[in-house]
Amino acid sequence: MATTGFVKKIRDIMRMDAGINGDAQRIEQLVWLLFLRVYDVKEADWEFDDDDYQSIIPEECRWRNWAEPDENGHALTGDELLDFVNNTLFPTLKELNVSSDTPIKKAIVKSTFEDANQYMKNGVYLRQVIDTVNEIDFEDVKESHAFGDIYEEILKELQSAGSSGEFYTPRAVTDFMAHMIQPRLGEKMADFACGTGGFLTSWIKELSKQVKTTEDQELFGESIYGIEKKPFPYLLCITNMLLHDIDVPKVYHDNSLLKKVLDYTDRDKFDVILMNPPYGGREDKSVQNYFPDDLADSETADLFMSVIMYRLKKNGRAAVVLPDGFLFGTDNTKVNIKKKLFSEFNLHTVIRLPGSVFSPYTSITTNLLFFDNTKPTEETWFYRLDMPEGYKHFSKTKPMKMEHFTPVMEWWNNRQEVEEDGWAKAKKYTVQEIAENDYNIDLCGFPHEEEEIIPPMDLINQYQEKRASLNAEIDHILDKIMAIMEDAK
Amino acid sequence: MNAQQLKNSILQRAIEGRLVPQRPEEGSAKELLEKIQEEKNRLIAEKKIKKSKPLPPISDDEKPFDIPDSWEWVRFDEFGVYKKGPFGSALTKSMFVPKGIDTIKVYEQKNAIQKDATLGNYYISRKYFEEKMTGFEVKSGDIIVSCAGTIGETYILPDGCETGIINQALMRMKLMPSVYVPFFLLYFDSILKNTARKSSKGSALKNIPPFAELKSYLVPLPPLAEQQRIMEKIEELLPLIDQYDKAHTKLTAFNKRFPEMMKKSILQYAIEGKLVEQRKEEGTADELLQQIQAEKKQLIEEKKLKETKPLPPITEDEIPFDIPDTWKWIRLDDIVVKDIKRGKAPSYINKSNTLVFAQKCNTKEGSINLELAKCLDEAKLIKYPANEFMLNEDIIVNSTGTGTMGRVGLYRSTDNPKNLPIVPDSHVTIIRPSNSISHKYIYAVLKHNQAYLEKQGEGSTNQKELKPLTLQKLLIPLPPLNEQHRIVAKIEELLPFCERLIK
Repeated sequence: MATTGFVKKIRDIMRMDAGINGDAQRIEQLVWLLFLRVYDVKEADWEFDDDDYQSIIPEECRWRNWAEPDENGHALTGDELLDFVNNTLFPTLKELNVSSDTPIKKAIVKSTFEDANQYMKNGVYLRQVIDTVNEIDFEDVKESHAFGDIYEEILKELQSAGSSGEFYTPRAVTDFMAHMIQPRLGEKMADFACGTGGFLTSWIKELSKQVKTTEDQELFGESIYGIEKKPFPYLLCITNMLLHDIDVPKVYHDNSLLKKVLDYTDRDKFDVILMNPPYGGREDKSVQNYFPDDLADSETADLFMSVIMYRLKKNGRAAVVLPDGFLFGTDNTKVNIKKKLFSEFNLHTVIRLPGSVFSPYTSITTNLLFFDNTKPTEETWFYRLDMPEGYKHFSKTKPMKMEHFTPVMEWWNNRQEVEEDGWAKAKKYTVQEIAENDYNIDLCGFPHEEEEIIPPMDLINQYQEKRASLNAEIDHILDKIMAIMEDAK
Repeated sequence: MNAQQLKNSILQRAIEGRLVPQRPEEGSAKELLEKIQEEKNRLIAEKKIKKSKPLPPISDDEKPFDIPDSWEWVRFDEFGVYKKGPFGSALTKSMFVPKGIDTIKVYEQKNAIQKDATLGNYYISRKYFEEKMTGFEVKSGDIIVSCAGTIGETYILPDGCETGIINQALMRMKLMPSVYVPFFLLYFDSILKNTARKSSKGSALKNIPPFAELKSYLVPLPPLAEQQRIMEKIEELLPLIDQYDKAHTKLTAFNKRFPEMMKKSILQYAIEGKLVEQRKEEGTADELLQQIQAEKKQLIEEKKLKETKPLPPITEDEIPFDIPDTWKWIRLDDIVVKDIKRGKAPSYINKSNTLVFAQKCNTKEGSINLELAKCLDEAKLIKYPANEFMLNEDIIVNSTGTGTMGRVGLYRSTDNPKNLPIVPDSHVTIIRPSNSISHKYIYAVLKHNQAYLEKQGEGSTNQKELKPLTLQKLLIPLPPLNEQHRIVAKIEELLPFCERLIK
């Protein structure tokens, strides 16, 4: 079932219910329903593998026993259903007995329900929603990153995608990055703003090809680490991981920016980091206190770049999606971050992605940065990935696909400089050249780009961000001038 | 505050003696001045330079600001010897010879402006030099100053440059050995240049002021060591001012660009169906389209509209973006009730009661200005069918000439206060949508397409024209009628804010 239709259908039903006010509550309602359904599917697997498996959920509260129709096609509905959910299901799940010994895969139920709410007031509508959730084929969901789709769809309805800086990374992009980073069993991969788990699933899929033994399976299960700040994507991510056979998902509901980067020790570091940090998201100003002065600014993408650099193991590898602004930016903080990147890490490849990859959520243009913690950068390759032939732009109906990365994959292992119409499409720059250009690494860009029209909210965000960054730069210069003038006295 | 203002303010502070503190151990400027005067007197005694007319002593009234006690006010004349280039008639192109063994280089303004002694290839013969031009000789160490147009650019001729003469647009400065050149040039560059500009003679081409005036300018002179400290401080500040300049220029350009981007963004958003919500009860564009098709059929039967050659159906690839389900992609020709074609080539007359709409009436600023309309020779009126006269809310597309082609305007009868009949000329195309459609909505779509239309000209560079077919085929995302009105209202609510941003 198409996710667009799914979200729309759920929304149409929920709109008729007097208990739900607005999309935020709709999401909450939907998330715990989805969770219970997925958990039930997973439990069926666990029971199959382990005869002694004991669910943490009391029998009557398990999805199969109340949400699905019995053999006769009868299912709870109306006031009866409402009464059960409000007075049995919720109190029971909220009060589950959980100790520090409880395995995460069981404790998850309680943590999910601790914050959850049951808003619907009409049992018949609730029944209709449950039936719709039952229609989802979870084998499909695994295949298609559908959780990302569902979440994005809801976000879009909320019109908040732009302002919260959350953009669902298209599957082609996460898959490509996971492929190029070449996962190995035994490695641990992290995403410190994992959303619904797009990178985690791409990593899992790439790595799962290597699983042969039960030992492999164990290493595989331990190979991911995610942090998500927002409760709903976090819960969707957990659900998503369960679906992908990660029985103990190391995904945490937390804010990665709220720890002093200087305090990270080797234990907090990872072999691989795959990320698309939020851009232009707003964080409280106090967040900057967790960063050294020269690396602190208000752009979340910059802050996450610092986190990544502090949490990448020696010899570790990283691939990060970053907006053009990071490449162009010559304000002090950005330059400092880039200096750190070039002088402590080996930034070997930058891929300039075509516009509209994130369409329709944002038209921001982005880049993929591949680097490792092996040695200082000596030279960096830039490669411009052009819009595939026959495409003017990507859209919801014509999204970017893995095959569109073929040109760059062919180039990757046989790197050559390429020039098109007198403009560099692929070129190698030495770190000296980059430093001479004030670390403005807007190289191998799109030459004939027509002036792009950006949706108003994005445009305003971009404007405010760029203006703030320029203002900060100006203030910084003026402060220096003032200081020089001051000591004249 | 722009970078120049910032720089000027810092330089002003420098020459007022407030950029670095004074140090008693560095002595006073008086000693330095005496040394400079001694040098000058010696050169006069040795007949190397001529004694200049004594200038009046400096009165307190003349002094533009207070300087530290250890400084001195000195007239410009004291620092060196200045010479302007020869009169034009003494040095004309006919005197120039190709470069050879016995030739002398003629320095020009560009040497001073571009700070390069090797530029230019005018030479005069040594013979002519020795006869008439020795007074204008320049060599390494002399300073040349540009005196016309870009005035006040200075350049110290480097070691090893060719000996030459200055031309009429240059001034030569030979400074006394004890003058600390960097500080002198700094002063010259900042303050003197500005003063000179203000009082300079010549209207179009600015010239450096008359010598008498220039020589009497006042220079505040600090002790030598202090001059050096000032220069160090300024060297420290200059790169920062440059950085400021870059950032400030970026910010200014960015701020300037933003309102226009915002307008485009709003229009784009509007015609994608995102500016207002869709309402079920407002029906679909399909219904609207059928209604218009019926209307068009009627007009064709009544011979009020020509039947156009059927246009190719809209393909998937042409569609630039997704639109709501209730909308429909159509071609512009589907909804017009007047043939899409240009007006007739008019015969003008000095005065008449029928106006002709020319491209320039559709102004760059986005408004219509009928004061720029011409008058039609009314003897020719019979050639104009009734539907050729412009109506309220007709959309105008300028259709010829690079630079104006593609510009879209909306004609309102209020633009024509005397309510005179008006017809388009042969350089504009009138788009008249059915009255079942919001003309202002179609105008918004066309306005959004303006950048595209500007590039669709066919023909040679100077004869570019917009073919009617390009307009007929243009894709229009069509919402239900009531939604069109709501979109237009929202746009009209938003655009004034963009206008305010421009100010």
